[in-house]
Amino acid sequence: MSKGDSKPKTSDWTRCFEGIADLSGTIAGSSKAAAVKRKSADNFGFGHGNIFEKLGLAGNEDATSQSIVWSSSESDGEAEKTGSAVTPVVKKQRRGWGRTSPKKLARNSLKSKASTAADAVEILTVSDDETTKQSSITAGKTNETKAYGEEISIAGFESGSEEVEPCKNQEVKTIVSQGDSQPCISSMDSLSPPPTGAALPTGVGRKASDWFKSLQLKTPSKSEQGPQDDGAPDSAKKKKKNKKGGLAEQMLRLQARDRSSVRMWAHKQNKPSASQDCKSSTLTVLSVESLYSLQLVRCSMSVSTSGAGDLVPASGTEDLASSSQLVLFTRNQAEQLNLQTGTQFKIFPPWQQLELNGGQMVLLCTKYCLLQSGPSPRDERQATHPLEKYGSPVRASWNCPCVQGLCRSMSLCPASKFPAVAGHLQESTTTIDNQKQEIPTDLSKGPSPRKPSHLQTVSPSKPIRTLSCGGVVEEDTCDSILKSIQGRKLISVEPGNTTLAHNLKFTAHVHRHIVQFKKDDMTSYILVVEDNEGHVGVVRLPLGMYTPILGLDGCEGRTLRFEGLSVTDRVTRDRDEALFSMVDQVWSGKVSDPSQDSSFSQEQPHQVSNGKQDFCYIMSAGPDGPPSIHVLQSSIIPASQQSDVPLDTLLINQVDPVRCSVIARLIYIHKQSDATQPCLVYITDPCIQKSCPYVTVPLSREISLPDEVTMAKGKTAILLRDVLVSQGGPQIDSYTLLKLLTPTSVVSDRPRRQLVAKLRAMQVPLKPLSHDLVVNDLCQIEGVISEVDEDSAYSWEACVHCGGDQLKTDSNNSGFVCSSCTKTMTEGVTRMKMEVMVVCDVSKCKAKIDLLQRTIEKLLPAEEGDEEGYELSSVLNKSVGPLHCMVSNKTSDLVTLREIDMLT
Amino acid sequence: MAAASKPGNDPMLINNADFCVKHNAQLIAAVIEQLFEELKYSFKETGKVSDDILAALNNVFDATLVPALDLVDNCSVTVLTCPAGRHVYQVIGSSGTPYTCLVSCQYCSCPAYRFSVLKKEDHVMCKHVLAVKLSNAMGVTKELQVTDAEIGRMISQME
Repeated sequence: MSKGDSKPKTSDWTRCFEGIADLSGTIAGSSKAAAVKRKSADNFGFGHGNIFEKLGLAGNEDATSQSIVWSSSESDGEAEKTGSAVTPVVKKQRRGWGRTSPKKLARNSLKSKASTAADAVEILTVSDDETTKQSSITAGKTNETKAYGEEISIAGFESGSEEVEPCKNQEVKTIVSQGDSQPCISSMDSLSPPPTGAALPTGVGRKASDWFKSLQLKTPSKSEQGPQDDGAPDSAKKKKKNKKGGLAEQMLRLQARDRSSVRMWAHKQNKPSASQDCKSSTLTVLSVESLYSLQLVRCSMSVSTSGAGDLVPASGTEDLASSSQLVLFTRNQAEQLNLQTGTQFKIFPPWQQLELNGGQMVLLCTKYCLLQSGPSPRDERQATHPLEKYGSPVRASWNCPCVQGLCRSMSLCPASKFPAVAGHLQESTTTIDNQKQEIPTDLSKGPSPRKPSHLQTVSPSKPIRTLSCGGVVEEDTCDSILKSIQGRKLISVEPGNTTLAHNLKFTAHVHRHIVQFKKDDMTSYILVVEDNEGHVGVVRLPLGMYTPILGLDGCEGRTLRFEGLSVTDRVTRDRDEALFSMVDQVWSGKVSDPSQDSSFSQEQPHQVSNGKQDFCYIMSAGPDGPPSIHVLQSSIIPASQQSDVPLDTLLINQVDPVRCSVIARLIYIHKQSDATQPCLVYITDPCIQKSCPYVTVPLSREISLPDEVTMAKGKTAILLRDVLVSQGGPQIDSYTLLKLLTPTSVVSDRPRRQLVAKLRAMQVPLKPLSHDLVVNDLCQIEGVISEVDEDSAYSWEACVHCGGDQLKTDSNNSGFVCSSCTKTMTEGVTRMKMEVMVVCDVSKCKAKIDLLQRTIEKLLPAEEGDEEGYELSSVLNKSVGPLHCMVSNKTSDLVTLREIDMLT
Repeated sequence: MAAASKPGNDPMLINNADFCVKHNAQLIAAVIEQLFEELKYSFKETGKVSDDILAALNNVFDATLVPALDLVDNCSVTVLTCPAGRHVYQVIGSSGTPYTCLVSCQYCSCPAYRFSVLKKEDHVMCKHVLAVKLSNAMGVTKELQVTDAEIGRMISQME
C-alpha cells in the first residue's frame, strides 16, 4: 500500500469494477466535473445503468463522486493546461493507440483535468489472465488540485507481463472522482484482440482507426458460413437453461453426442468401421419428395455384397430387394446429400427403422451416408419429375348408393371397400412400365393392435434391439466372437484363484453343420460359424438335445445366438491346416480392422494376415451346463454356396489344403480290420473313367462313417462335401459331410438330379489284374483255379443275430446259443471261407484270392459233401470271374486279392 | 355434344402430383403417429423416454423438439375440459404467454403456427402442439375443469 492510498483496498476494487461494469457511462457525482462527464457519457450513447448503484454498493457518492470517461494521453496535456481540479480517474489504457478521435479529444480534455489534479496515484494493472495480473501502486500528489482520484488504465498487452506507467500517452481513461484520494489504476486486459497486421513494438503509437481497420472486421454473410453449420447452438447466444434431468436436457445431450459422432465420421473422411461396414446397406433412390422440413426418399434396396444390410422387416417380409424402402432425411441431410432419382447411396449403422401399421418400413436417423454413384442417364431421364412415373391422371367419380341415400348402412356401400376420403385413399395406379403398383395409403388410421416391435435400432456393434412394448429389450449378446471372448469376466473360483467365466454369448451365422461320427460313438454336432466381423469359429455340441434346432434340416444358412459356450481351444493355422482349409472355405472375407473399430481390443492380435484368418476358436459346452441356442430370423452373412467339382479335381495335388465338394458314385467301402488303418471309400464318376476308374478317399482315423453310408446297397450316388484335398491326396475328415443322394432327395435341384441319374446308370469297369497294381487297388480278374489252399478252406456256423462265431449247443440239444449275444437259435447260418490260386486268363498272372461265400457256393458242387468236406477236384480247374477284387497284399511273385462286394 | 370441362375446373380430377404429396404427407403423419405410440408405451412401461425414441422424434421434428420437451418438463400443458365435453389445450409458452391449441387439427394460437406451419410449411406442427402431443403420450397433461362459457370464450378468441 502506497503512502497516498487513503482508502481501503476493497473499496478501491469495488469502484474499479463499478467503472468496468458501466463501461462508458459516467457515473453521476456531486462534483461539477462529474456532472459534465456524465453528460459526456450519455452523449456517447451508452445507456446501461450502474449495477452497483442500483444495488446500493456505490458508496457515499456525496463524499466520493465517481465518473468514468474515455481519455487519451493527448488530453492529459490539455488538462494540465486547463488546470481544472478533477477527482481521481479510472483510466483504461489500450496499447498501440496513437491518436484518438475528435470526440474523444473533447471528452479527454475533461478527463485530463482530473488526471493532472491527482496528487496521489495508484496504479493497478488488471488483466483477464489471472497469471498476468500485475499491480503496481504508486502514490503521488499534485499541488494544483489537492484532490485525489482513482485511475484505471486498461492496456492491451500481448503478454500482459509488462508494467505500465500511470497516465501514459495513448490511453483511454476512465475517471472516477473519489474525494481527496487519487489512485491511478492501470489495467491491462487481453480482451482487446491484437491487430491482425504485423505486431507493433511496445510503445509505438498507432492510430485507432488503423488498428480498427487492421482487424478487418466485417459481418459474415450467410454464404460465408457454409454448410458446416449443422445446427450447433450459438455459443454467443444466451443459452436457455432447461430443467435439470428433464427430457430437454436429455435431448440436448443426445444431440451433442450425435453431432460429435457425425463430426468424427466426417473427420475420418466418412470411412466406416468394419462393424459399420458389415451392416451397411446400399439403396438406390426411386423418388425424392420434400415435405415440411423433411425429405422422404423412396429407395430400392440393392443386394449388398457385404451381406446383411440388416434391414430386417419386423413384419417378416422376406423379399426386401423387391420392395421399396422409405428413408426420412432432415432438410440439412437432404441438402448435403443432394439425392436425386437414380442416386445410389450407402447407409451405415446406427440407424432406426420404424414399421408403420401398413407394414411399410421407414428408416430414420440415417446420419451416416455415403453417396455411391450419381443417377444413371436412364434414371435421369426418368427423374424429370418423380411423379411422372404415376402416369396419367386418375379420374374418379363419386356416385355411390350411399350418397344417393340408397344404403342404410355405410358398410353396405360398395365404396366402403374403396374409400376415397382423405387419408383413406387406396388406388392402383399405372406406372410408366405399365405395372400395377399397389400404394398402401391407409397409413393414417389409428394404431393397430400393438405388436411387439415397431421401432428398431440398428447399431454397428450390437444386434437389433427391439423396443418391445416400450421397454427396451437389451440383448446382452454381441455379434462378435472375439469381443465375446474378450468380454469374459474373471470369476473367483477360490480365494486368490480366478478363472474366466465360461459364458460366451454371441451371434453368428452357421456356414456348416456336420454330424461327426466318432469311433468311440461320441457323435457330436460341428458348426462352423462366422460372426459379423468375419471371424470364423467352430462350435462343437453334443448330439441329442439340440435336435429340434439342429435336426433334420440342419441350421446352415441361419443365424444363431449362442449362450453358455466356453473356449475349448485356440488353434493357429500351422497347428491345424485341415481346420483352416475349412475356415478359408467358408470365410466371407470380412476383416475387422482394429484401427477403425475402437471397440476392438488393441491387445488382440490381428486376426487376419495375408488375407487369411490366423487363428480360430473352438468352442463347446461349458461346465456350467448345456449352452442355449436360439435361431434368429435375420441372416447376418449370406450362406456360402459351393459348387460341386469333377472327381478328378481331387487328384490334383494341392500345396495348401483346400476343400472340394463332389458328387460321385459310391462303389466300395473298405473297412480295415486293423484299427490303425483308415477306412477307404472308393468313388467314381464319368469324367475319370478313361484315366483312372475310381478315386480312393481315406477316412480320417478319429471318425467313422455314418450308418446311412455303410448300409448302402446297390448303385448309390453320394455327396462328399468339403473333402480335404492336400498334398497327401483327398481325405474325409471331421468337416466333410457324406450324404447319399437319391433322385427323390434332389428332385428340386435339376442339375444334381440329372447327375445322380447318370451316376446310377453308369457301368463301373475295373482294371484287370496286372503287375502295376498296388495294395488297396481294385481290380477284376477272370481265370482258372489252379490251386486251393486247404488250410483256409472251411465252413462254420455263425449266429443268425449277431454273426458271431461262438455258438454252443443248447443244453436241451434243441439248438444253439450265441456266446456273444446270448441269444438262442435252432440253427446257425453257415459261413464259408476259401482261398484259391487263380491264373488270370489275360495277363497270365497268378493271384491268390480270398473268395466271397457266394462265389464259393457257386464253385462247390450242388450235392453236399461228406463230413470231411468237398473233394478238391470239384473246384480245381474251374473258371471263375470276372471277380471284383481288392489287392490286399502284393509280393514280387504273388498278388493276394480279396474278392469284394461292389455296390453295383 | 357436351362441352369438355377444363381439367383444372373438374373437381373430380385428382392430379397425381397432389395425390403423391398427399400420400407422402400421410406417410409422415403415420410416422409421427407411430412414434407417439412408441413414446406412449415406452413411458408407460419404463417411466422414461429412451434415447432411441428421442432420436427418432428429433429426426422428424428437428428444432421444435427441444423447446417442446422443455414445455413438457415444465408441465406447461393443461387440458381444459368443460361439462359439455369440449376440451382445448392451453400451453404456457416459454415467455409465459398462454396459447390455445386444438390437437385434432394441430392448431395453435402462437405466431409460429401461422408463420412456420401455415405460411412457410417447414414445420409439421409448432412446439406447443408438439408439447401437447408429447404430454398426452406420456400422460403428464394437467387437467382443469372450466365452465362452458370459459371454453366458448377461449374458442371465440382464437383467430
